[in-house]
Amino acid sequence: MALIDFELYWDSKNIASNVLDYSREHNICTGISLVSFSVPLTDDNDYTIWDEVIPYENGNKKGSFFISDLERNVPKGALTIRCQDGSKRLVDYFIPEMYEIQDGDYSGAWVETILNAAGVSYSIEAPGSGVILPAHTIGYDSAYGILMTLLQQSGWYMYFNTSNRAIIGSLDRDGAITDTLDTTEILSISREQSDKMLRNRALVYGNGVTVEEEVTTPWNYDADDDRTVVIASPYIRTEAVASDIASKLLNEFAVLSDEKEMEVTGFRNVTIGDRVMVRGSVFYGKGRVTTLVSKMSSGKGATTTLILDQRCPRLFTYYSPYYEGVGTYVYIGTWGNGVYRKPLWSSTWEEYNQGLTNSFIKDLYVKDGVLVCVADNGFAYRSNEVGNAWLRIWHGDFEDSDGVVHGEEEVDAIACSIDAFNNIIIGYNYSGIDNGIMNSWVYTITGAGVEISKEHVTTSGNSNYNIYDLDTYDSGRNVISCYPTTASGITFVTISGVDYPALGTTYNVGYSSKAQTETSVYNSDVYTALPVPETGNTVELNTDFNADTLATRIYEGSIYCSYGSEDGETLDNDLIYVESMAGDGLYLRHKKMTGAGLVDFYNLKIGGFTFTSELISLYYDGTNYYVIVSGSVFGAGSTFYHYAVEGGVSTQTVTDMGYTYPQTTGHVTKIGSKLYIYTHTDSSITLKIIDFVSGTIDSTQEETLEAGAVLTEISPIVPTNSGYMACGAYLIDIDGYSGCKGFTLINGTLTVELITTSAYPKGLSLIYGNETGGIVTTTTSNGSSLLACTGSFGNYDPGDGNVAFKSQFYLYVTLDGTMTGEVLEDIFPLGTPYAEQILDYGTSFSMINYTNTVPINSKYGDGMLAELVSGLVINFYNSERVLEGTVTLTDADAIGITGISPRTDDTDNSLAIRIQTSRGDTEVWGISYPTGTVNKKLIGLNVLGDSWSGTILERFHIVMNLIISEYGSYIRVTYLYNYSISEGYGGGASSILHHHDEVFDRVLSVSHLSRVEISRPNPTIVYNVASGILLSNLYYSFLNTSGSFTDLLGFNSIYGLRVFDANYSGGNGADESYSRYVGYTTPSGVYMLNTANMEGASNQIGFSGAPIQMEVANYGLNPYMFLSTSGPQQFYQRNPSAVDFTNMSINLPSGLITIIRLDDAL
Amino acid sequence: MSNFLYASATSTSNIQQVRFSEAHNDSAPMVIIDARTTSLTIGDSVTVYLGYVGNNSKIFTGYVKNITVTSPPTIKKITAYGEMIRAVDYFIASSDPDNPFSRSNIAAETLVHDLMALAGLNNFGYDATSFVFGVQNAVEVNLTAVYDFCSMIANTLAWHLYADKNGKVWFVERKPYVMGGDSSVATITNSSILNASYLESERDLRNRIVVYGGDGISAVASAVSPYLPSGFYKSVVASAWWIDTQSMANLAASYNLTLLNRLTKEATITIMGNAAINARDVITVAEVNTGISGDWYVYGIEHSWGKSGFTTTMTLRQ
Repeated sequence: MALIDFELYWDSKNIASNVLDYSREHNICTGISLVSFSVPLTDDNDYTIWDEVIPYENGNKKGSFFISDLERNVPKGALTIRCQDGSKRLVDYFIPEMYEIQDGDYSGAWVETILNAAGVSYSIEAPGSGVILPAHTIGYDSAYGILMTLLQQSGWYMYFNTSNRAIIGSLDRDGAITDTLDTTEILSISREQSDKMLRNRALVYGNGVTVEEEVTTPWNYDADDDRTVVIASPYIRTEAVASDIASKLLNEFAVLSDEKEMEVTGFRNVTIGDRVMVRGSVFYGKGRVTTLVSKMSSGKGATTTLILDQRCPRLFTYYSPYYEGVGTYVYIGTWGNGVYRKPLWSSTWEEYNQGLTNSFIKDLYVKDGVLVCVADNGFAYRSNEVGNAWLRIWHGDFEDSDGVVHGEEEVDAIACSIDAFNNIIIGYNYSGIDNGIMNSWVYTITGAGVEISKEHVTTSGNSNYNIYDLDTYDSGRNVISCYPTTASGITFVTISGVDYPALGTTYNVGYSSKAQTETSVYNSDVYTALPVPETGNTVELNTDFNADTLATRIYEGSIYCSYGSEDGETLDNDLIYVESMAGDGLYLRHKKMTGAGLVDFYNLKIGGFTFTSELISLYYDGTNYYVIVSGSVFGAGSTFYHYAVEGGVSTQTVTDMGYTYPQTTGHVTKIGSKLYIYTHTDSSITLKIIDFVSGTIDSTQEETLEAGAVLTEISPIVPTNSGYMACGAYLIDIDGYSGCKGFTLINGTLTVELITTSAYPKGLSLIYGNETGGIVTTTTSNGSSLLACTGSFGNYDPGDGNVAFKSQFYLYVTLDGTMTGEVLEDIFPLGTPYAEQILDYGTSFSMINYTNTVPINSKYGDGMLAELVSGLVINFYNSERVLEGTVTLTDADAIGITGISPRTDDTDNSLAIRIQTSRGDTEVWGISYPTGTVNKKLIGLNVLGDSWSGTILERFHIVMNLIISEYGSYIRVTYLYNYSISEGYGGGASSILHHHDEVFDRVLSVSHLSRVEISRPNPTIVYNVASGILLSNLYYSFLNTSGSFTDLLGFNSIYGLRVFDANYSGGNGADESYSRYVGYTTPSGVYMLNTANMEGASNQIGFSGAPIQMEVANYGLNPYMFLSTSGPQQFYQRNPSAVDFTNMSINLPSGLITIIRLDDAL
Repeated sequence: MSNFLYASATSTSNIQQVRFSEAHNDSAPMVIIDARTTSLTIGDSVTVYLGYVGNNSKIFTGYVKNITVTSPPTIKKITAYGEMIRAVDYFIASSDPDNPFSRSNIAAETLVHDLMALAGLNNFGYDATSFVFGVQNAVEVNLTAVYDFCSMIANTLAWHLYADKNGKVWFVERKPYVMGGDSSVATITNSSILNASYLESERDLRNRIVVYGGDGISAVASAVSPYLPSGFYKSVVASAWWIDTQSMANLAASYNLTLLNRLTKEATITIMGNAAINARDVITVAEVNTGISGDWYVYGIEHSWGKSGFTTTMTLRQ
């Protein structure tokens, strides 16, 4: 048992052994410290008023106290002695005269005058000289009373240190932690939040000046709730002073009172103003000691009561705007280097990665010394500034609305935040597919990791939500950005029971040795049964598929299917494909579903091609088959065949049109009576439009399209080689535009231009591809040109080391007569809202063309595909991932389709995706299985959505499934799902959910994946990070209710954004009034909107670089501001009252900064 | 009637204890809820029902002002005040001190209504007064809380200002005793009374009212009280600068004399919990031991609900 280490000196004698009970109380608001103790009446010491008493607790001197009164209590048999610290001199000393304060005197000088008059030693640590005072008189009052008035006017506070020296100054909001209190030391604890000091409007009446400032807080009843704090003084003579006071008032009072009181064991070596870390049950985090009561008695031993974070009604703004004490850090999350931090006063960064098992940081939050981050391995981690090590957050199972339980490893952490109670909120998404959706949850734990709630994200029965971002504005009140899961399409079709037959193995299509007996395998947990994405795309086969051997004909990419028809009719019961027969050539096969099963409808060997011949495109219009195959040497040329079926299966008449194009590849689509064939070489693209009414191909009939016509449906050109324009021509709405350039068909004049390969965001600006090949005019008509881009698109490297390049193709509309010689940058100057011009564009990976389907948009889809791949160097640009370099996976690299949670097929083969970019020599857009298992090729993918092609693929997921035919056999189909969101208004729009009172309300639909920002409690900002030509949209709301969000139209590109209060006066005409601002970074600098009217987008904060991420302190009239820049990456900091940013990048990691965080309490 | 206790509060579960109190002269009722779980936060609207399973009543609508979490055991204590707290919190402070909130020739009830509207209290009912303010000079209101000013008006006119459990504000002639036309909402008998006491006092009796208005206007009303020594007057002074006509000053003095020149007859009873009774109701009591009987005005009421049961304590006046 530990003895109480307590000494109490009186008259240089330790009288502790006489003490019956003892208490010491120190309060920051009064600046007074009191000691009280009792001794037996038999104590013969001659205690006298003004005697000095010095207590030691745990060997630490706690100050010098002067006896102020003595009380003898006979029944109790005790003498109670009450003492006060040096403030007793101030309280007892009466200023016997009147001092004349001259107009313009500073308060600091008069503070010193009063302290000197009372004979108190002091140190004034507050910056500056105080405030300017008007002419008036002071005196005839206690020194304490006069001093407190002067301190109030100055925004200072006072306490007496252990040497009985009055310390006058302002407190840092942060600083070193002097003690840590764990649950084992805490006897009781409470936390009280109230609005007793909440004021959202400040009014300062001065001498001829009046200033009013107002903000909205989430704790106001509604918009009518004005709670005003008024200061009226004839001594306030200028608007600047009045504004400063009003700003300070709001800065201090527009928040809840949040006090924590705890009784802990023993004496503690802390004093008021110290920071302590509390790891208790109802509070976990840092706090400042504002009241301390240490007690000791013979019956109870020693205890200490601490009250943290009290606010003084008569004192405000005693917190310094500088937080540069020891232990005050700014943190960054990086993509590849984990978490780093640096002290605010330092330029040197240090690792903060202990315990972190993944160094790719998606999200990070810091509040009251509690940290949480989300890493790219799907896990969230928590830490605190005392422990300094990250602990993985184990969340256990999540259950969805259907009662399906998802295990620890099956969900991925996505985003995180910390609420007002320092509870940690994490958004999780299921990494798989469950009934076509993925599900998500909001998981809340205390800072100590104790679970509070697991809430399945669902609105009115709809659970199709994947969390993209979240933020919190109060305890249990979150705003969440979500997007739905949509099926992308069937990507692979093989036959019943055949488990990816290896070359040389003989299996029969439709009934193999594994056939129907494998039902249980295919419906195992690995491959959760899924509905077919769309009825119209159902593939139905039966066991009577054919006896043809398949394996000998399978090689990479050899099975191609098509179900299209020109009028959109879906051939539900047909399977049309081309098989490559080793040593025999290609066979065109068409099978129809009949009552007797799937039977041959058409089966024809195509020409004399060899095993290595490859189908490029296949189209069937219900009567005729149109086939393009490559020559014997891939890429050397393509041959177009038209096979017309006449008379059904038994009387096949085939017409080999034998039209060979001198180009490498092509795609064929028939619309009406016209056949559209795209081919290209390294230097050109050709569109052949053939009138097929005659039934024969006549090259002289290749049309020149007439002006004004718009091609409405053309299948994509299939990419087959590197660096070429592997894109289709899609309808682009050009209504109302006469000057834009692009790629479309205009009836009569085809004007084509491939604008760029990669307009992918580098963070700062739009990057266009390097059109080294130039533009080639191939056809001229009526002064317009048929143009095609050529050359090595995709090799652009701006040289900053951060370019993540992919082959991306943007197709834009060009009207005739305006094409030749255009410069890309002139065509698409920054800031023009091109997105409005483009309704449809993109490329396709597909060789499986479904009727009425829309290809995946390469612009976004490619970028997100990169996330699937392990072992790649992936840079994180804003909200999207960019592939850098070309990597072909091997089996060893194949960690799984999602890149997070490994996926295997039913024989435990890892599935992976090979992404190849145009940087390589053998690049093929598409997805395939790892090298070495060529027979597991994933042939292609398509989007099955019903909207335009603007699909963002956040993350892919492969699900194997079986389609059960009505005949009881199976065909294996691999579905490619993406976590996607349509970019267009309407179908699949992403959602903003308001999470409150354990429910989720959908309050806003937005057109892009959007982030949520709530730095101060209001307003909530929803915005999408700019990407390429995609500009940012910004919505704001003060209520977080449906209909309360306002769309701020016409916005520029936003990369980083924060909400903060400030009184900025510096920097290129920034707004000078104190208000709440939305600050955001753009390629051209930092801007700030005043939330009072959401105007002032032209207000620019002085910064010469091109910022990406930003962070701003929550307190102070000119709060700290932090920026990161790219190329090469740097970190900048602007201190309070400083005009310029300072580069603080020593030891800054190379990994891209994904987020900057300062403690939210600062 | 079920004897199983029932309590509910918005977004709150595992309620351990509820304490509700309201009195005639309170600015707003207060409820304190101890619960294990709540998602309420400061500023939230909260409604509380109390009683028994199958027989409970709404007792409160208001706003959360304070949440304290204590441990061990972990309990969340939610303190909320009634709708009128909006008027208490709303501090009238004009952006231009030379142009404050101002009205002329305005009926008292309209002025109160306009002020309440500032605080977002638009659901308003009233009894017409015959007072018109701002006749000589405009009534200017600044640097005061809405409730404080409106309450002063009510007190001056012997009117009553409160918000009911549905959040509706009333500015009515409601005296703190049984008035003509009142009807009883409940009858309390011996069987449900747990304890009772009765008090008579001239403590609050005033038989001389002095009203000081603006511009030197003043009025006095007095009457002999049978409860005071002969010729003895207990005075109260009302200073109401916004009264600027002699007739209104006279009327105010007369109204207050009626209100205050009476003996206080007050009973306090505790009964088995009855959440259907509200402050300002009139109830009938038949209690044989102390002689508390007849119709009584519920001047104050406290509901105490928790592990030890459900009781209602009422302060009654006649």
